[in-house]
Amino acid sequence: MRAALPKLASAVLVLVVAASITFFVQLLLPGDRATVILNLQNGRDQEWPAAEVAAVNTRFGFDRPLAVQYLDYLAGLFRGDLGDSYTEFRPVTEVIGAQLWPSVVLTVGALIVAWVIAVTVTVLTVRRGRFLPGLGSSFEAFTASLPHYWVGMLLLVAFAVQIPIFPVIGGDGLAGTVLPVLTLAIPLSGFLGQVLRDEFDKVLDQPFITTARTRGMGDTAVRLRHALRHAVLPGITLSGWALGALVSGSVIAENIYGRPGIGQVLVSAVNNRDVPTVAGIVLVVAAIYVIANLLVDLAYAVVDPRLRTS
Amino acid sequence: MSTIAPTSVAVRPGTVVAGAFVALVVVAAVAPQLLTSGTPTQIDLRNALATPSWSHPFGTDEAGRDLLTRVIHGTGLSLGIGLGATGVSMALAIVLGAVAALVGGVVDTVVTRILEVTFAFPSLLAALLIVAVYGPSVTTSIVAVGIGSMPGYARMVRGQVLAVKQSGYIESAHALGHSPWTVFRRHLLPNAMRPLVAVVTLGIGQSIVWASSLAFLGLGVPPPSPEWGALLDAGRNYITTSWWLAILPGLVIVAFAIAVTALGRSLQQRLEGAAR
Amino acid sequence: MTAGTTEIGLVKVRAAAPLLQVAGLRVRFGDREVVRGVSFAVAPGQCLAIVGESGSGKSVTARTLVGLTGPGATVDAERIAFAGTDLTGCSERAWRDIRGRQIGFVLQDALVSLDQLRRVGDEVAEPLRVHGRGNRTERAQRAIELLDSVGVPEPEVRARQRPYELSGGLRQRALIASAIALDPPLLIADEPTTALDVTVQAQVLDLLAEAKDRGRAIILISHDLSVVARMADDVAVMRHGEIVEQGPAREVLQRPRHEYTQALLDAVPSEHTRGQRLVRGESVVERVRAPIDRTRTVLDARGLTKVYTGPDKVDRTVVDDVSFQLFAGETLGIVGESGSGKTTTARIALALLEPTAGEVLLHDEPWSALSRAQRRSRRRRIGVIYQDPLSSFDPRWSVGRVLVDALATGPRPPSSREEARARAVRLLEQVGLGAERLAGAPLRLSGGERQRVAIARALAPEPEVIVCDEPVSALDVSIQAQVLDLLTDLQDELGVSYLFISHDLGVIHHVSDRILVMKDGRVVEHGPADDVFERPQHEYTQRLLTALPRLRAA
Repeated sequence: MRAALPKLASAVLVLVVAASITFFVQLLLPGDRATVILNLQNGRDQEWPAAEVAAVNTRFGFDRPLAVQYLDYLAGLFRGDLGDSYTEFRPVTEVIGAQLWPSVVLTVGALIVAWVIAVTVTVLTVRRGRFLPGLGSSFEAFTASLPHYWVGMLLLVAFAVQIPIFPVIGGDGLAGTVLPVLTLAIPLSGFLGQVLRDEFDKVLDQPFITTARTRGMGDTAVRLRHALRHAVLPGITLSGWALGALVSGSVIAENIYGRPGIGQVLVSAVNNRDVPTVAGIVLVVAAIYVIANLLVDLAYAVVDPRLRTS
Repeated sequence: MSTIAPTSVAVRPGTVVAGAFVALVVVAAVAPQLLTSGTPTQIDLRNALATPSWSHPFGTDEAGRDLLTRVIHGTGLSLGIGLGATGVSMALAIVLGAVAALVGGVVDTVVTRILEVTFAFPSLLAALLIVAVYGPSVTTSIVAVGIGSMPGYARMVRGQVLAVKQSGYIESAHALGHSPWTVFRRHLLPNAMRPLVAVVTLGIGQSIVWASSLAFLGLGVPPPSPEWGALLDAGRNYITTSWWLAILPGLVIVAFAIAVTALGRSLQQRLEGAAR
Repeated sequence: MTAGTTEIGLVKVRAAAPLLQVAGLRVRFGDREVVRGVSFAVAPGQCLAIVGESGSGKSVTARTLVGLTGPGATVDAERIAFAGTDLTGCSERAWRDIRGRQIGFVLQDALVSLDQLRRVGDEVAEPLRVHGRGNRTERAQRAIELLDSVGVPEPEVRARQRPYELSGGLRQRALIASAIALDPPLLIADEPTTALDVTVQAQVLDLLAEAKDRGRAIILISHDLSVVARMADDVAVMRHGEIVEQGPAREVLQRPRHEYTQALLDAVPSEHTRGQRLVRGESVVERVRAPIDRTRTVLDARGLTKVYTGPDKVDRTVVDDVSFQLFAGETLGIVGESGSGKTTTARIALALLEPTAGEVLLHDEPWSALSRAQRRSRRRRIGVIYQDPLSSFDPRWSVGRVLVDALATGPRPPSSREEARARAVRLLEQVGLGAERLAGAPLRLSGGERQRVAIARALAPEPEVIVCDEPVSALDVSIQAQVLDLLTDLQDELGVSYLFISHDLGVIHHVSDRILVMKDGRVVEHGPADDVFERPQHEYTQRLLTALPRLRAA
């Protein structure tokens, strides 16, 4: 438990730095911010009279010193306030609001499904004859390089258009979740599978595996009871990073399937140049990523107790 | 009596295929007119949304333009964006990763912390943030994808350089009395750069995929550019009726990414085979 | 008989029926024949030792006896009879029944032979679970009993721990406990004492001897003839897949008939081989040395101390007030078990590590006190040879380039490529290799050849001192003998001094003029080699020597 404190402090530091980055990115908008906002909100591209510019400046607090804006921003984050959208006349948190949950479901679901696929394929194909391992390995290499949009479109065409099993525009019910989850899970399972396979192969050469066999254990039992636990370790470390990559993918998956989620919000916000919303989403994702990594570290310590003794 | 020459390892058929495909793509990028006689903007409305056939192997789009021709002409731009983005991310990755590993100490700790933060920004999201600020364009695509994909490579580079730095032959060279600069020049640099070949080719494949993902969302190079990602975005609207408009350009992208990565791995193995 | 030697000549009454009989065993991997027609037998209460170097096929033979030869292997034999059952053509299911229940197997190095992520108790009780004995509570209880029977203190506590939390000796006992869990009549031990400290090694052998006394049959696979001498009733010597000699231990080890066995016995370094070459033909060859010049001190270590501060802010003293002197032309041996601080001391002597306190002088001039830049020009006067030379060669460099690079750091760097090449060839000849090795990669050489190249590289700058850090520990006995002979020949020829570090007492005794015994970072004893080994003063040295298995009676 004591070891958790420095990790927690580190996580908070990461979030603070991330927040600072998103704050400063908003300053990078070319041109004067008030002018940009007025243009965005009115669909024009022109200079605006000083009074209107001043009004916008006051409303968004741009007329205060930079340091004050920065600290206010950070303070706001602790209160759960991500600033105001440039184009939607409401706080960013409202814009993101209820859209967060479907994305979380999608991302976590995809991670679980990816693990299931990767473990099954690896355990079944590692070192079983001459043909199977190569097949499994090629399958993983192939799926790992597939872009999300391509898998998504293929699945859509195959299982929603040509053979109408699933709805084309699914909403967030169970039926509408299957294809998006698969879209994200398949490439990740290839990637995880490669890591898992490499480690599994190495583990099977270890002497303690031979020891287990000399006790009369069968091959499948050895794989499941001894090798698997060792082999998943690097995969667990990767899962933290994978969650972040899945968020990227979910933006695309939601886009293809018209599924509600922060992906939709994000794309329209980028289109509208609504930087605070984009920054807000990025920050929320960063927070989720940091929390996910803390959980991953915890999971790792559960699987590999060598880390518990310090 | 110098470095060992790469032994002639038999080339696997898969590698030949991959190499040939990559070469084909490069030709398409540099001199598209060698591969197709048509122009990407040739409209023929009577022939709109035709299914793939001999005269139009990839079919035609909603304006009757031959898709294959458009794909071929878009190659240059797509490859350019991919290479540009790879350049950006590799340059950043090498500077950060190598410096951190070589200098060690406080610098390493600081850089590792910085990298931790960058990992909190998934590549696509970081790219989207940049596009939101600067608007979609070719340059933005290059910079956005480059910065977004940098963290993973930086970590890889740092790992490789660290592994080499802690090798026995580095210590041996010091024990013989060579100066740190000599050790760096003769041992550290060449050995650390070798595994990076595979990383760079992986990077090229991935950059093209991410750049096209941006375009797929409508945030990359604007239409009617025949850039691959833009073709995907345009084809998306017809996915339920004329699926080939989106799937086939995607296939080309996937094939290229796989081919480049496979080439890189086989190149890596040959270089390492020399030391085996 | 001096204290510590074990009798190997007791006559044992043989049981009438052998437990295991093997006749004409052949094992092939593809078209490579690894075991070529091997026959032997072992009876209950007997220990058969199969001795050989790497590539002899002894381990493959052992694994074949439990059906674990490995993928891609073709096994056939006239006969493999175990307790009346014919094992040839055994199905995998039948093998699984035999493994653990009828035949127990002990591998080397419990650190990697036990599953580190599982509790010791679970590992020990696993044979019970696999063969369906008892429920979980009963098995847990039995595990504790087993740990107790192999001498693990506080077995209830240890059973709940994981292997990495136990010391090396306790781990190895736990490994044996798991092999005897179902009390199999035959126990096969494949190098059970390699990589263990001498004292731990003795405890493990005691355990095996106990099993033998209880009527179990034991097959011991080893390359270490002294271990074999301690344990075995019968000995079979294997080479290139064949048994070249077989018979009662006393005869094979004291009156061998085959020249290979004789060469193996001769090659074992010990106090009996001091001052002689290990590789020889008919007669003993004595070394011809110049007398050691005690007025010239080449290496002088004073009060070396090295303290590491761990992440938990606890200080660990790895080297504690170590002092020694190395004179011109002599070999100073540093011996100790793992964790004794000997390697750290060597690295401080090489100035690759800064001491927390103390100083090293090289040729009566400051050495460790200098800055790194100042040391660089003097580095050529002190060389180093490692246990594993492969990692010390740049993987892209040929042997020739390695040598020329080392020559360039010497007092007379070659002025032309031809000269460089000629001198590199001379270096190779000096270490017994031919000029054809120049263009090759170190990776393609055998272990012994690589070590010779490492020695050539160390000699290139013409140093006066060479630090040898476990230079022969990874080599087979006969190769080890050749390399040791090479080192002593070079010393006789060039007058170079050695700081020789090893955990192997026999090697140290053979090669050293004076000895330092280290434990937990301190020097517990030092003096001329014969004095330290024959009249040890310190209790630790005495314990080490008692535990050391001896090949011959004094």
